[in-house]
Amino acid sequence: MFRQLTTSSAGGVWGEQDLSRDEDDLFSQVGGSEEDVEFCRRLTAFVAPVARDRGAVVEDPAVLAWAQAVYAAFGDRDDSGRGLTAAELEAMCGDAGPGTFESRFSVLRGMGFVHPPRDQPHQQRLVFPTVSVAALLVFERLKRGGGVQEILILLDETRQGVVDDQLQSGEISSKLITLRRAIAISANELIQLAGRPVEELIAQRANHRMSEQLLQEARTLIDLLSEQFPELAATGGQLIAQALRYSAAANVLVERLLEHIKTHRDFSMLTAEQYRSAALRSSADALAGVFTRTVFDPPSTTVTAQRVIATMRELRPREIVRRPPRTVAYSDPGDPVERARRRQQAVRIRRETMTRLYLRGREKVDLTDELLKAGWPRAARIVADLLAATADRDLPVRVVLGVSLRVDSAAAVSYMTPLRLVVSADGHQHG
Amino acid sequence: MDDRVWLAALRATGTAELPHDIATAEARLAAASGAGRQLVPVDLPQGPGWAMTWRDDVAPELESAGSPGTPSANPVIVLAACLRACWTDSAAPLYPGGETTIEHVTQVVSALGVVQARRAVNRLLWWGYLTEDSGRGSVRLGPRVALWSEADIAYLRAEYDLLPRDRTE
Repeated sequence: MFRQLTTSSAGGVWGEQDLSRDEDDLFSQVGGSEEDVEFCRRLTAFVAPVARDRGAVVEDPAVLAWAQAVYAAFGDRDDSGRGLTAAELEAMCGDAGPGTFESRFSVLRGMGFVHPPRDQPHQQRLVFPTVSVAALLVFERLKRGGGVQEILILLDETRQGVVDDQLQSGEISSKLITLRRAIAISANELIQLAGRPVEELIAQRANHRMSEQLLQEARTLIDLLSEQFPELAATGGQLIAQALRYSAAANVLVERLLEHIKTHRDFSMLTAEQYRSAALRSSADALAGVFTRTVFDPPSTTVTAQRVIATMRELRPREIVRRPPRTVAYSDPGDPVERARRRQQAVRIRRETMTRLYLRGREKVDLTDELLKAGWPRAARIVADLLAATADRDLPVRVVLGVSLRVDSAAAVSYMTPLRLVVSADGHQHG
Repeated sequence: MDDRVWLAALRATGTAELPHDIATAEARLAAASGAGRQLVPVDLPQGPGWAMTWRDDVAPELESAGSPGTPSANPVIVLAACLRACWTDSAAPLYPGGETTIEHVTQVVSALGVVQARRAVNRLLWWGYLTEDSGRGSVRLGPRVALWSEADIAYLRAEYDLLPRDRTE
């Protein structure tokens, strides 16, 4: 299945997102700090043959961003071909990488990554040599592959040289030996990897994603040589043997990764986009092939002991709690006649106070307007109180009702008889 | 029998008797482990055997997306009635327990408002919480119950009186 998911890999493009890049396969590498460490390790090994000491390579691969920014500046802005000054470069590079531009620039210039034109050593303007482009390309390739790509390139170059009749038998023999050694070392690396923990295998998998292509290229080259250089058959046979060994080791690695994925149902090995690509581009038979050896369980559910008890607890009828009737707190009621007398006295005092407030020392007062202002039902309550005061023999007031009738449909009190409060002749107003 | 076929049969039936020789037993344990499962020793009515469940390190989370949903109340009530009927002595082991009839279970759960008890029994048979003696109308606890932990069984034992039973008995 995963081999069918394999698509061609495309080179990275610095400073731009390469949207045309196809999804890779099980060997694709996911970015992260571990990959940076691995890349740094590769860089160090790569430079080791020409390094002055073991600390010759920086530990942070992010400093490559400075060189890539310088490369981008020359590629995009140096249209005239006259080169760029250090000040122009600094302005264009901004904060491309860790540290300062000055410190990195002095290293790049000191080692000839950028330099003045050959015949003008004191020229302020600098140029970007093509060898520096090649260096960045190599670093980028080194980042994506652990060296197997270099073997593929050498295989391709050799094949092309044979086709173009540009290589002699001795040169071809030398290249075949170099290739055999390189493939043998890569195969050994894979074989050692097979016994390592799965996590390490996952981290290293990107280095060996070209095994089938490598075997195919080697076969093509040897087939070609068998016709034109039969004397190289033995050397070619050794190369094929190593390529087969490498391919077999890669297959073991694939099987182990697949086993890990199957057992752990780890769908994170591929990205969601890769699954989508497979669904869109693969044939129905290829997709169905994924499940040819899959046994499906019937749909099920989980009932726990806790769920059983919780359900039964919910079904259990609630216990009815019978509360005893509340005890009535009997307080001492006192003498009811006395209480009635007090209530009556309080009412009389209220009525007397009300009449005094209306009269304010006068003999009589017209309360018609007062009642109109009081509104409904307060007017009725006042009239009732005044009539009750009149009926009380102890209060020396009486109410005189008029004989006319005031009608105002818009007022709160629509029908109103004029009403006056008068101090009665046979008594006097208190106070 | 090929280990893969044996595993497929075990997945279908839920339980299997222990093989007679150690080599076969080890091969089947390894085959189950390779498929992300583990074989748990259980006491079957006919003798010692295995039930199969997920390996602890790859078991699906109950709350995770795509996990089996939670059952409705009726099958749970029916299972509770079966537990009580098949596990008459709470001091004894829960599994394999005894037998009960579907008629009896229907009678018990109808008092709790469960209609269509047979449908709930069928679901429990499908899920593996009950097994049925075909033709006899009797059921007993299934392999999924055998996989409940000791802590689960202790909890059930403590709450035994909550399990429904026939009030006329």
